[in-house]
Amino acid sequence: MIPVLQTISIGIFVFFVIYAVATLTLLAMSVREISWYSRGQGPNRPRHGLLARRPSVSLVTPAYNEETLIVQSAKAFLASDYDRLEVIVVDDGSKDETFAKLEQAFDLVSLPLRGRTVLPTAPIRSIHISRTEPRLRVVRKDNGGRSDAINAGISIARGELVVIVDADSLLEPEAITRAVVPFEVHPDQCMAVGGGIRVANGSKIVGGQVVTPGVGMRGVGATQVLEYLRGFYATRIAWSEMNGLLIISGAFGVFRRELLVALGGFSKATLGEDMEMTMRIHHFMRPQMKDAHVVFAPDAVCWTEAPGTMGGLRNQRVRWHTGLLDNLRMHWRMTGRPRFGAAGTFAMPYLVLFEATEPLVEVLGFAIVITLVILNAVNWTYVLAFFLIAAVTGEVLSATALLIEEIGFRRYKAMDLARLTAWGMLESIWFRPTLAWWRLKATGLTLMGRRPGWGVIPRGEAILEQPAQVVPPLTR
Amino acid sequence: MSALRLLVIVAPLRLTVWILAVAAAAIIILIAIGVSRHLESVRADRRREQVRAEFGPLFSRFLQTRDPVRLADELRPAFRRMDAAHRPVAAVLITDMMSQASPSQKKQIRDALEEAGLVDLGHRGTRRRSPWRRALACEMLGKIGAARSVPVLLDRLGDRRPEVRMGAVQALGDLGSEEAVPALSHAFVERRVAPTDVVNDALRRIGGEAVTAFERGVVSPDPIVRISSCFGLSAIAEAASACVSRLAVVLDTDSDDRVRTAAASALGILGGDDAPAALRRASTDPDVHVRRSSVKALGSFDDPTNGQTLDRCTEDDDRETAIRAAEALLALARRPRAAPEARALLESSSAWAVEYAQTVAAVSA
Repeated sequence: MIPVLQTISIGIFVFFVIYAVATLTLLAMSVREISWYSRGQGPNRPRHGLLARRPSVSLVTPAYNEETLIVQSAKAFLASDYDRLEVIVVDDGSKDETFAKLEQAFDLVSLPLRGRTVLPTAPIRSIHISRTEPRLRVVRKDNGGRSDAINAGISIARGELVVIVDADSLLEPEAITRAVVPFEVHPDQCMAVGGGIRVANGSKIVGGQVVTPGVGMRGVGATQVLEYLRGFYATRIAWSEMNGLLIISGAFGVFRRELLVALGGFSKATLGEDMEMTMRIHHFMRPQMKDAHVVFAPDAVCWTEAPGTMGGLRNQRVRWHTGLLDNLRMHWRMTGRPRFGAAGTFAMPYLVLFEATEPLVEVLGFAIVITLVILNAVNWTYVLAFFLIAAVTGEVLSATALLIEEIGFRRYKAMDLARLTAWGMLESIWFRPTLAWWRLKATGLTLMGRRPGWGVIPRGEAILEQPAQVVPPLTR
Repeated sequence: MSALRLLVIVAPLRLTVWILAVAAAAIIILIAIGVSRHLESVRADRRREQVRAEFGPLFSRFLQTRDPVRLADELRPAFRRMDAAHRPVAAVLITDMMSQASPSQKKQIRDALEEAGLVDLGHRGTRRRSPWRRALACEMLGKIGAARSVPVLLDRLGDRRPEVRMGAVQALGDLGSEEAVPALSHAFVERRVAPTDVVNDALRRIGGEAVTAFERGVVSPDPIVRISSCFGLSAIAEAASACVSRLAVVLDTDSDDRVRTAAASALGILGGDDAPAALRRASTDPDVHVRRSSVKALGSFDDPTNGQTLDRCTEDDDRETAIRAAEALLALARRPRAAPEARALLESSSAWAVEYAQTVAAVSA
């Protein structure tokens, strides 16, 4: 038995070496691209500003029980600097006062509810337009889930492009303008654009906008700031460059409306509908249109509230991993096939090996070490190698993410960067093993045919507008 | 088994040493790059401040005195003092100032910059080793707007870097020189130099002679070029009025529905006698996008005969076509000749789309 365990352990070791090499290659590509970006010379960035023909945009935001944030969010979306914009809030059968708050804040009036909708959804109860802000539409419908709500929004949207944004996201005023640029420059090739998502926990928020980015003191929030920087800026830039980007985050993505309709809208069969749509775009478009591009726009920024507790984080990560497994199952035919371009030949195998399988391998590695210790047959060299490689790869990844942040964006102060570096050093001890365990749990649930629910993630604490400091009266 | 045991003991050790060495080197390099970039950005900020402090008063004085000769006299020594690191900062600053200046100020600043030798400096900049500096030089030359920069920029259309080619195309658009039309026309049809819409944008800013490029593009075998040409023609409407009949033919006969959609939009902007009849025919096109564009375009003609067509389209199966038809009918109701017919149709209509459009119009008003 011991030789078998030792052989498996060598396999795991080799796996992590391959992971390290693949990840470092992606990092190198991202650093190269961000250097260009920092000079303002990327291929999608016309320096003279926007071209003459700007596509019309419909921003669709699904809302379920969002009474605390919805008015603030809608106002922030309407404050975008993009001129050809309509905002559609879809109240997905909320049980709280979501609609009442909107009605009160925007003086809504009914629009006739007829005409054929282009995507099948749960029954739509009413459509409204705001008297005070005619660019705002509100759709009330029966509850059908996030995908269903988005599809209802797409059905009544009139823009050439649809921006999907979560109701609790904070969109920077210029984010849409920046995200639309690839569509303007390559109107025939660009299919979808994903924006950069940043964690708002710890930042100062005024008027639904992040005015001073920051990093909170709590480990869960701070580590997620780093994790998002790593996920979006250290790897997605490289995938986008290779045209192998397989996920556009549901928190902020831009799609051609006609394409979404032609593909049947967002899927209700997966918990990762954002990734599924991106994969579907590659799956259906790439074989017939080699130039079809899915682009990541790092300068189009949307801030989101990350779960502030381990419980909330667990719910989210179990759901994400289940969604990933759903999507890999639905689009497994793309794996390793050159007709899908880099998405099939590189990105899908990377996802299968290093996202879907990695938690299994990581936990198996821990289990083998423990077993070998119990059997008194442990090879401490191997143990050391295993942990060092895992930790060092993570550290390099974090360091590169911070470097990319410093080269390309410079949003955080030196103190925040130092705090992120410190949390990055600690995360190998507590954050990553915990994530691996949750992801393994999600794998187990999927194999047993059970599905996690959305769970309850307390929202609004981190991104609710902070009241202005009370100015003391002048007393002379 | 002993070989396996050897592998178990030795292989991880060696690999670990190697990987650690590589990772340590990578981390050191990353930190070094990070620190150097940080220092560089601090230096860049300082340079920007220095240049702004030096140039700001010069341009303020110029705006007061409007004396280009004095500005040139002051700029010349200032530029001579600058090193290679300061010049790009100055170039960006000048580009920004040129963007904000009025046409008459622009001309005077241009004369002063020409006099101070900045145009020659820009020409040399288009041959620098760094692609971003070449692109920046192209941009600056476009903003300065000296006619003698055209050949230099035309030469950059063959640059190996796409960013530089795109910068040159945009700069040629800024210059608005008809000398660039043949090369840009070629680039527009070939689609290799820069993205089609970027070339389109440059051509439409040149206007006039650029119509020929779009006219050729309308019959290109490439549907993307045909689409872009339709929008190009619509953007330079005055010069393109003679193209209406050609676009009407495109709307009637092109096999690609995207091209027909673009042609319908272009006809709505261009107007002309041949347009309404072609658009009315297109309102029954099997493709929804063509119908949408056509009914929207019909609303821009003061032609009473469009009313019946639009009224029919308010019952279209496609939701967007129905709404656009109703909006176009409302637009007709505001036009002198078409208004009586359109108002009568609106009053008698029971289409939901009309109610929808009227509610939106009332709220928006």
